[in-house]
Amino acid sequence: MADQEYDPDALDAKEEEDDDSHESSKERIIALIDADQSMLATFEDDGTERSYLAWAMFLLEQQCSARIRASPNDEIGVIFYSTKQRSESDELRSFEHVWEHVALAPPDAGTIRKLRDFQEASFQDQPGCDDVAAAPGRAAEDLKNGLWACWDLLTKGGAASARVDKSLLIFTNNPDPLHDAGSAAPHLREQLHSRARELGGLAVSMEVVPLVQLSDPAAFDYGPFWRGLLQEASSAARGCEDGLAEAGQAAALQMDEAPESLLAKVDRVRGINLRIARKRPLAALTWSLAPGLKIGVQNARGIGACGFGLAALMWSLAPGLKIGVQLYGMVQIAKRPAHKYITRDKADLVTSSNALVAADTGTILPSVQHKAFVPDKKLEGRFDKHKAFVPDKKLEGRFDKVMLSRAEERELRTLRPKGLTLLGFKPASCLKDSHQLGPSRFVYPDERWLKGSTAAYVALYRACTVGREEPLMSVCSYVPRSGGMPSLAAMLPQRPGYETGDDGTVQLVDSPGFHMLLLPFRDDVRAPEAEQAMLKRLDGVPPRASDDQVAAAETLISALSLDIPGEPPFSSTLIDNPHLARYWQVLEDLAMGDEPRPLEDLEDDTAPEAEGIDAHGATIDAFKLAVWGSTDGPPAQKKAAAAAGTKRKAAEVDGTVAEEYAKHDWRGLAAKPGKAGLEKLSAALLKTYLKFHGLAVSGNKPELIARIQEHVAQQPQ
Amino acid sequence: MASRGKEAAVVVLDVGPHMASYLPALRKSVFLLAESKLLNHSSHELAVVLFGTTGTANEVYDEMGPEEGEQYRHISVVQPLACPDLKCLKTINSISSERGSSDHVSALLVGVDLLKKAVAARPSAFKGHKRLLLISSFDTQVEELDPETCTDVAAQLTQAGLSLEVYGVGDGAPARSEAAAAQRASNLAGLHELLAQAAGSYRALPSEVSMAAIFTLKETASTGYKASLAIGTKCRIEVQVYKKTAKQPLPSLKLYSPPTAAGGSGLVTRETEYRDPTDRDHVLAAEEKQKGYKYGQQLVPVEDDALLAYKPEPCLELLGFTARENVPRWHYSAECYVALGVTAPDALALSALVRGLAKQDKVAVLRYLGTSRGSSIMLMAGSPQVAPDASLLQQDCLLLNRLPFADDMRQLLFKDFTQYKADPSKQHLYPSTDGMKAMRQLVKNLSLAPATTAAAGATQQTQTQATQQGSSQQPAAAAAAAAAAGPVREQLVPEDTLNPMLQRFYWFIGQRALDPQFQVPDAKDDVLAAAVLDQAPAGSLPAGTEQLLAALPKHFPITERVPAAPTAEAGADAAAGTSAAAAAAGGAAMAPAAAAAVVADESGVRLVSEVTDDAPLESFAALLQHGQIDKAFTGMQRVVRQLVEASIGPRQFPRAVQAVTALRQAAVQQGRPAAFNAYLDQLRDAFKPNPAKRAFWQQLMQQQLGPISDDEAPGAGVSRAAAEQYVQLHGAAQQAAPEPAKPAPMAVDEEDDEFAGMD
Repeated sequence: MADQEYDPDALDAKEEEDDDSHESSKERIIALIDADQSMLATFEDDGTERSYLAWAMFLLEQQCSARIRASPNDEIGVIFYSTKQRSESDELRSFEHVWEHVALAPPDAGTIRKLRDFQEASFQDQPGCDDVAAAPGRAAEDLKNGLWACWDLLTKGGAASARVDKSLLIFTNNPDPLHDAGSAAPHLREQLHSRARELGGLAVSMEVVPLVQLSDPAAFDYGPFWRGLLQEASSAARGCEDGLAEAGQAAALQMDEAPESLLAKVDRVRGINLRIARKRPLAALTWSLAPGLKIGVQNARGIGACGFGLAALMWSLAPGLKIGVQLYGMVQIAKRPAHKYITRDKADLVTSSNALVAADTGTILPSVQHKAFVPDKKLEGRFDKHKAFVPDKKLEGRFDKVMLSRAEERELRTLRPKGLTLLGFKPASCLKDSHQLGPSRFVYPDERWLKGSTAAYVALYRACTVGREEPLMSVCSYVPRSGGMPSLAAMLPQRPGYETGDDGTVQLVDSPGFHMLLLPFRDDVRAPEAEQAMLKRLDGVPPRASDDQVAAAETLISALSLDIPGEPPFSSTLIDNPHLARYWQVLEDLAMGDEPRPLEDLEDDTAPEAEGIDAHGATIDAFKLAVWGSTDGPPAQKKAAAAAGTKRKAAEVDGTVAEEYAKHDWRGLAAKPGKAGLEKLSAALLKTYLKFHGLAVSGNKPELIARIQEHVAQQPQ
Repeated sequence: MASRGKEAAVVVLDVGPHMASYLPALRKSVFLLAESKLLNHSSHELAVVLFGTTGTANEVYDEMGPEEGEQYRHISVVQPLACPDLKCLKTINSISSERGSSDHVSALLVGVDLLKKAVAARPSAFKGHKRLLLISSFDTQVEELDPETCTDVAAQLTQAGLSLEVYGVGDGAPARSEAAAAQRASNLAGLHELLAQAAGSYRALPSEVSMAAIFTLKETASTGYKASLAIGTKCRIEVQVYKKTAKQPLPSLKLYSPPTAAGGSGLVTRETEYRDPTDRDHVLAAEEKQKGYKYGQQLVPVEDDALLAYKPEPCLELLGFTARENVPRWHYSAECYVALGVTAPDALALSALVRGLAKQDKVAVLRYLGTSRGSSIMLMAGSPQVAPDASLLQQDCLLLNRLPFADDMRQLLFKDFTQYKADPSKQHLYPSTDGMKAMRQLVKNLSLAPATTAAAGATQQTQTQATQQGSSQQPAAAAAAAAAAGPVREQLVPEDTLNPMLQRFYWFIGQRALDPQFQVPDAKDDVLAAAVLDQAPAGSLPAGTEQLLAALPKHFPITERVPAAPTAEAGADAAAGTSAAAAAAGGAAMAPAAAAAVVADESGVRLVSEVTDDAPLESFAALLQHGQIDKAFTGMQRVVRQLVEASIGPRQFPRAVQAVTALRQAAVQQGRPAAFNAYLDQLRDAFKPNPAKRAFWQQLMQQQLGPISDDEAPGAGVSRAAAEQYVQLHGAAQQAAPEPAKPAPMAVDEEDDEFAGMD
């Protein structure tokens, strides 16, 4: 049903996109992998045994695949250090024992293939694993070269690269590369630290992934070596005056805090929670809480699958109090990307150009200053007829075009300035499940723009929640952009939620704040459940289940509960969209030049467990018995109706097709022409013939008749 | 709500002298009703009967004659039952109060008669809904409606198949006088008696807002989609799925360019041409291009779109039931649908499920794939909507709301500000005790619903719809007690609140169709917008609110920051602040590198860090406004030079001249004349001798953009005469270009340089 209907507001939505300044949308990731002999040791997980090197490749392949889907502009590079040979590429030729496996670039099918086809044997041929134990201090020396190479690559592109988020993942199983350096250790350590500081200065977020911990957590200790190195990088990032370092700072802060579990890290490497990697506001708006109190709000919008920031807004709370807030799109319906046009011969992206063409003359117009409201075709027809025959009597048409200039249109559409205005408060229960139009937005104060916003926001939040069993929601008017359609919005407070992880760490899972939900207007709401016409179907009186029937339903509801004690609660957010999964599955295969996998390969997690439900047959039967008086199904009302001949359309029901079919002399009708023949029957009746014979029932009436006649002609007398 | 088939509506409107103050608003409503019929329901018919007119023009009176038909005097049919057109709109537009007096029951009977006759004349034409809308203040003395007449009128209405909608204008607002109030009470009692016997509803229109916006502009008939709710393989409940909400868009406007030739439509289309990227002149034919999809940077040709699709059978399958808290309200991510039982047994089974769910506070989780093209699988939360027991018109139903997939979620985490209080480094982000107190009071004073609503429980859920469908509703009680202890009824109920933008848009389109000179109404005067989109005026709020609102800014001091290049202060704040602020500051920092604007505030003013090439005037003004004077001046000077230097031919000169104009003006205002004068000389030296750019300099001089004189701003160091001479000298003609003697102002400028340095 019309979830992809034509949407005239889509145009507006697009404008909205153009309005807002996009923030950095690119990330540069380098995986720096230790290629020492020790990485060839194997580890088994999930029935697969691979070397640590191969595991790293496997994880990175998944990361690449996730990036391609979520943020195709990101660049990924894979560099080994401690290899026997060095890379021949211009950029890396000067670094000994450093090998470039995947050049830093946006990943594509080739990247995935390269990672997927990784073989230890051929790797040992070229570039070969070095044995760092052979020479003291070699491990540290190689790491230094590796870091240097990464610095080189990450700064590629000069000033432009400054706006890119950068991260460095170091895969190693060596807890202390300096352990055998002997007297050279202090010197080497200083060199390494200086590399780390350089990287920190670039706001690179650095992370160490000791895969060996997967098999034995005790096998790797970050110890003074890695902790010290990361510390250097993070303090350099923090000391960096440039605001760009924010991301780096966050990463650095994270390092200071309790080290996260390796599994979480591995998940991140695989790109599983890529979606939480970056936080971008969609737009900044103000939320006026009272005429004057405005808080800046960012209005977040998803860009592809990885953008979050929508907009910064002003929220006016009182006549003199406006705070800055930002809106974030925590829920954004991910859609299949739109197609592009490419040339048939070379598969190049075609360039397209738009032109405004005057419909009357076919001339190209440089710009258009007016718009017109053109009434419905039906009216226009009436009008045109008049115009064609009696050009003077224009006004005899019921309604003519209405012209307005662009400036007038803007004025007309601008009812209130962009922003949020606080109107008042209601208990949250006033928000019905039917008061729903689109995805919600998370509203968070924006301190950078209107300083002091947070305090007002927190006060508002507390006033709506603290000491209340049922929170209050605040009702605001919301204008998404200047000239945008105003609407009412409910600000639903969310209390902070904490979860205790397996390792005992307490994590924030729900941030406190307001979710903004757009409310419909009366114009947007329909009430089919209360329409007279609907009731006619139900013999005029809407049925109400009796207490017994409700009790039977309750038993059924309890039996088919998705909430299993001891299991995590049900959440739709753990289920992948099967449409998108299939799309990417096929596209990936096509990109690699393979045949698409068969549909059976698709895991559709949305399919119900029919067997599990059927296992509750007795409960289901009891429910059916309670509401229908039989375990077969609903009493056959329609059949009765059809038999009584009141509704011929009811013949569509399978059981009556045969009955209805039997009533007509099809051969006789087909023989007669026009109204005397098949034409006198309704389309629904014609379909009973087609259904009876298992033919297609699509098409309009003439097509149906043609199909029947063709079929009749083929049948033997 | 939605109507099927051709609808006939008869508006019976009181225009007697006592209606004078209400008519402008009511006229608007009736106008929009007619316009919505005309544009959105073009087969619907509408008639307008006015009563209280000075004259008389109705068939009942004509037939009965002046003697017997006395009671039908002062009733005029101004628009017979027909599809409305522009003339009809014009008629409605010209409705104004008149001096006659007539009673509403007689007027109502004229309306009934009119409809009956129309139906008799064209019996096949009126198969849809028939409405009679009676609009009056009902506060004048009329003959009392005796029980007999009442029964008779009700019978006539029923016989004609009419539903009666009574609108009590001014009901709920203070009455003109006690006598009028008593009259109204008595008249309304009579009408309620009538409504008890015939189908219909009553609605009070207490305020101007409610009078000016009575009707929705487009009613969409619900189209259902068949589905069978499958519980495992053994149980199926046949349902129809309807849309419950859908955003009503504004009527679309088409591009228009006044036609050059007579008779042209003036419409403009947007056409797209596809060209070969390697050969720009080659326009690709349809068969030379194909569809491709992006896989990373790679473009993958896909011949058959269906290959990428996943298209299982349409379905509505139950996955199971879960506690309501597992599907947070904010997860709902699309418009709402509703499932209704197809037959009575299906509806009964659904009713049992719905009531069971409501009792256990659970929702059903369903997998839904609609039958229409392009629909895709959705996971739906099926939540119960239990019909109120009293309503015989409403079914129990299951509301379906889309739940997000993993792909749709962005699990953003923000700092838990509830813990700021304990953190000394974050305390400036935490409200003060007084601030908290004030905010609590604000929340109390701005209450939009009685606190008890919460306790009302599930059966009340659809009360608002019930009243809308409404049998009859107690009138006067509503508004009386509004002020003191918070509202008695919920305000701004979505089902009762009209979209002010739609009303405004249609009003304008309709008025402009009548009068091409009609101007866009001032947004400030829009009463509906004020009622729906603005905070209620302090006067209508509980006592003390005004002072409270005035005091709020003191409790929450807000300082606006120009997000300039990140300073140490900004960094420190962000670090100490929320992670969002930190992320945001990161964003702010990225912008200057692009020399672009950073954020737009609500008035659309860009907050900028630099004078930008694309919008020099705006960014310059913004910087000045935020006190970044030096930055503004140096930036603007740079931009002017760039514009001129980069200009191909004289194309950018006008912009550059504009920029200089702004710069000069600002220099006068900011008291920096000397700096401007010095800059002017630089421009002269740079561009005047250059043949390609000379025109720019001449334009400057032609616009009298000479040095700033002492008259304009003290300290300029140039007398007015000298300034004028400068313009003449340097602007006059090209032959002036060769260096004459060093012009006087130059010397003065040099003297002034030390002042310039002080800025």
